[in-house]
Amino acid sequence: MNEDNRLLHTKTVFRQLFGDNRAEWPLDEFGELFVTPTYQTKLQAIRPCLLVGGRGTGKTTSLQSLTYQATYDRLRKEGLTFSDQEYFGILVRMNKNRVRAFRNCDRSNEEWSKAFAHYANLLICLELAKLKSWLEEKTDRNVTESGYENIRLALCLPAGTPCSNLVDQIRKSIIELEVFVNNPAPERQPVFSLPEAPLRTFVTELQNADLLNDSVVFCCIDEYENLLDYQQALLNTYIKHAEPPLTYKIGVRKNGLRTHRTTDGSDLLKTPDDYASIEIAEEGFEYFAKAVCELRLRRAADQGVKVALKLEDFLQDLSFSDEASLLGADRVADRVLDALATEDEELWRTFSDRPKTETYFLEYWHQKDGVSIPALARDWLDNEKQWKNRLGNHGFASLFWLSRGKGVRTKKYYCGARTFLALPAGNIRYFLELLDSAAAFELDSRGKLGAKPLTLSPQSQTRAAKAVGTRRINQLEGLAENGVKLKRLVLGIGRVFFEFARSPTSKTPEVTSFVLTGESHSQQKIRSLLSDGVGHLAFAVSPRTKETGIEIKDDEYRIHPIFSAYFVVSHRKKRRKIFDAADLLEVISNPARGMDKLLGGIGVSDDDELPEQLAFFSAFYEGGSADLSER
Amino acid sequence: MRVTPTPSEHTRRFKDLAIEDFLVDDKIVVAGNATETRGSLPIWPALRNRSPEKVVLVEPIGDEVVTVTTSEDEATRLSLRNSSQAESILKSEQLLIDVSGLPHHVWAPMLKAARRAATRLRVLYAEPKAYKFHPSPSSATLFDLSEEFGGIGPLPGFAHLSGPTNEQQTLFVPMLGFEGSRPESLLMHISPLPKIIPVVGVPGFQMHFPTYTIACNRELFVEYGAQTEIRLARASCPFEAYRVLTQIQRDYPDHYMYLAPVGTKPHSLAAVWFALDHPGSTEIIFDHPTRKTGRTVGVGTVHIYDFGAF
Repeated sequence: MNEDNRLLHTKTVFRQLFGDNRAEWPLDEFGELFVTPTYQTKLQAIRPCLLVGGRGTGKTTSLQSLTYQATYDRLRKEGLTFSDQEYFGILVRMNKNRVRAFRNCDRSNEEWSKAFAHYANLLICLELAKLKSWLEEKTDRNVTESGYENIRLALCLPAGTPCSNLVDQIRKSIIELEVFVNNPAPERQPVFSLPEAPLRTFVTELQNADLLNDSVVFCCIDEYENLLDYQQALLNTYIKHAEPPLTYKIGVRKNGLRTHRTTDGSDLLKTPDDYASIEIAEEGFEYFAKAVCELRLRRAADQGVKVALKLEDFLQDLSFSDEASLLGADRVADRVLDALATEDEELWRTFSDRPKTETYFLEYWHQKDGVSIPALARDWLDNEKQWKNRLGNHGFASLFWLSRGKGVRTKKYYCGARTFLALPAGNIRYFLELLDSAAAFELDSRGKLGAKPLTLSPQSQTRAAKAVGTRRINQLEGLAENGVKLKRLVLGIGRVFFEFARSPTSKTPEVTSFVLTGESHSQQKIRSLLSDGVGHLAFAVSPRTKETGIEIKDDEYRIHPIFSAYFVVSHRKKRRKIFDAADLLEVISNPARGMDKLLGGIGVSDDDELPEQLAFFSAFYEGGSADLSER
Repeated sequence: MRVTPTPSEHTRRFKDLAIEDFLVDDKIVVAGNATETRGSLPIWPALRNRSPEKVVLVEPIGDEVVTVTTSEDEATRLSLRNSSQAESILKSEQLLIDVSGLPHHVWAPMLKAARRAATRLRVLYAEPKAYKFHPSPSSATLFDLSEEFGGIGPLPGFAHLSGPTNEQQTLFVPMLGFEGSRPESLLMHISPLPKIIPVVGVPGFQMHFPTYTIACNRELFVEYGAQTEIRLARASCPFEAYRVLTQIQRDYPDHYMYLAPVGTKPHSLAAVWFALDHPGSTEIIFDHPTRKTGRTVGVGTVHIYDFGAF
């Protein structure tokens, strides 16, 4: 293969392996690329589980891996057989456009609950019916006539429905229900099946017919957050009463389980009594993501691409001093040395012998404290240990200040395995998107591949971090009903942290998160928005870290780390600010005024000092007067 | 009366409407509490004074409920999923529905009922003179049109509980408008990712509007490569848009179509009409925006679409 073709081949392989990360995996590649997440054993336990994670954290993929077809394919590849299958999973998605039909129309939730239970039964039994056919084919055994009759009666299907037509008949019953839901007149009401009963009957009959082979059925329900509260309460009841051979695996977005109620109002769904809760973000993401990446790198190597196989090797990192140099530390250090030369030759000589990636720090501290550079230099020589600590504590923060100035293209580098594992904050889709994008930048910037295994430069990684952040910012509006508000809030808060990061006068370095204060109504409004934002990965949340005697323990928010490169702020969770909820609300309605209050006196950068991606939103940041598009 | 050139044989266009432009036995459904000037044409009060029995005022009072006032003192509560009641209210030889001031969740079920209740059905749509720009735009969507969104959910009477039999053969057909976040937001609810075929209003209501539409929906094109399948239909013509939908269906037989009426109202009319004609293979997906008060000013061209002759 000549050099051009080799480059093209490498691009194609990387795009196939790391690109297209929004769509669910096609079934034929599922087994090949599936990496068992660290929580998989917990998920496979024979008891109800709630798999909790933001969008793109891999909930659907994990649930899909439990389905009977995926499990069977996996076992076969491992040289095992059907009889080794310990569970049979079916997957049902709760489609928002459908479940929301079961409301309004002068009917109470209690009345709708009966119709919805019938709908849920039909949906789940449709999948059980497909499983039944598959099991019958695999085992050469069949559900008995009387068993089938029990299923039919439990589902309230019409008499005379042949067993072979079960799937079709369930579909017809769904259409019959649809007619009723669209015009819920009593005369159109079909006979509703009882909550959960048909599921239990169905699985029991599968067991009675020896189709389950002592295994259990996992009823996986995805997108649980789409359910209305009364619908969650209904299915919570199914979960609470689950017992083998039927159990439930629920995929739900963070903050998506809005009620723990069951249909018996006093009986709540509790963990760990009723279900195991698996928070994907807390389940060893770094280990999992590294495994996912390295499996794909190996696949790339199998396809003839010469590539580094370890994540740490694949993603080039920068040391602190290398990065400081690239960001202009030498230029600043020269200014410091000029200032010392005119004041004190001895000091000049001493600092000339030091690395410029330390000397520049005097200027940073001078701008922070206002003390003259020679005085600071003398203090450094007298208190080496203190300045070493100072550089340790503020050095990273000073990198954001270093690149201040007009026309500087790269204002901070985002590279290396640690950074790339931190930016997605537990989101595997973001991680793959970062790798895909960085590889594309790297390969586009190269004329040829060379003899060494392919690795990604800090520049390509930084461009990718910015590009992915930009894409995600642009998509925020479309993610949720209040996506427009969320995007405005992220843009406003991101810009505020950008200004903090570049201002050495800010008392605390590396401020990246905030807690709320202010009057309760505003707090309630902003909390509700932030909670939604956490579910849609606009924000990240963690319990407040440093609790003081007078402060009530509360959530600590930050913009999602995937936006770090976009706003040129630290991706690390470090120090926090206290923001008034009313000011945050104002950021949404009147960005310029709201940001001004949050910044508390720190001025905003000129437009020509802004990174180009932020300058694009100058109309938002500066506000403007309402105008009309005249004909 | 001044009639502008007519783009379709089923459409009449007016600069100024006069009482004599209506048919003698017209029953006319109009918004009772429109928040935009074009939603309550000056001719309606005049007509109501002269012949109160001809004008039916419709006012939304909840998610799925309206009050219907047929004369000064007669206000009836109508649940929009109660098709038989809607049909009895709309029963007439000649029915004209002014959709300009009615939200989708009101006019769509009324259109559904009117198809059965009226012998001849016409729909009136008044363009605004201008749209309001956003004072602090945070996206390519330059206009300030929606307050917030109620979220995805079926229009009353349009619920689909089954979905496609084959999830690999689905189409997402958004009728594009100025709010680029809306089709993307709706698309998030469809899994696996369907093929995307956007419909753009060309020619637009105004010459530069298609450029706005493309700019406002840039993200949909960039992120999903949807630009390769754009279909065009005159922004003001539901019949042309309907034909485009028919063509898409021919191009992709056996595909399930998710129709997103988030563009011009005439295109939304086409989407709803098409969904009513093809209930098994199409599903309307909609996000229920709360419209900003004063989002438009003035009244532009008025269109009357004759669905009776379509």
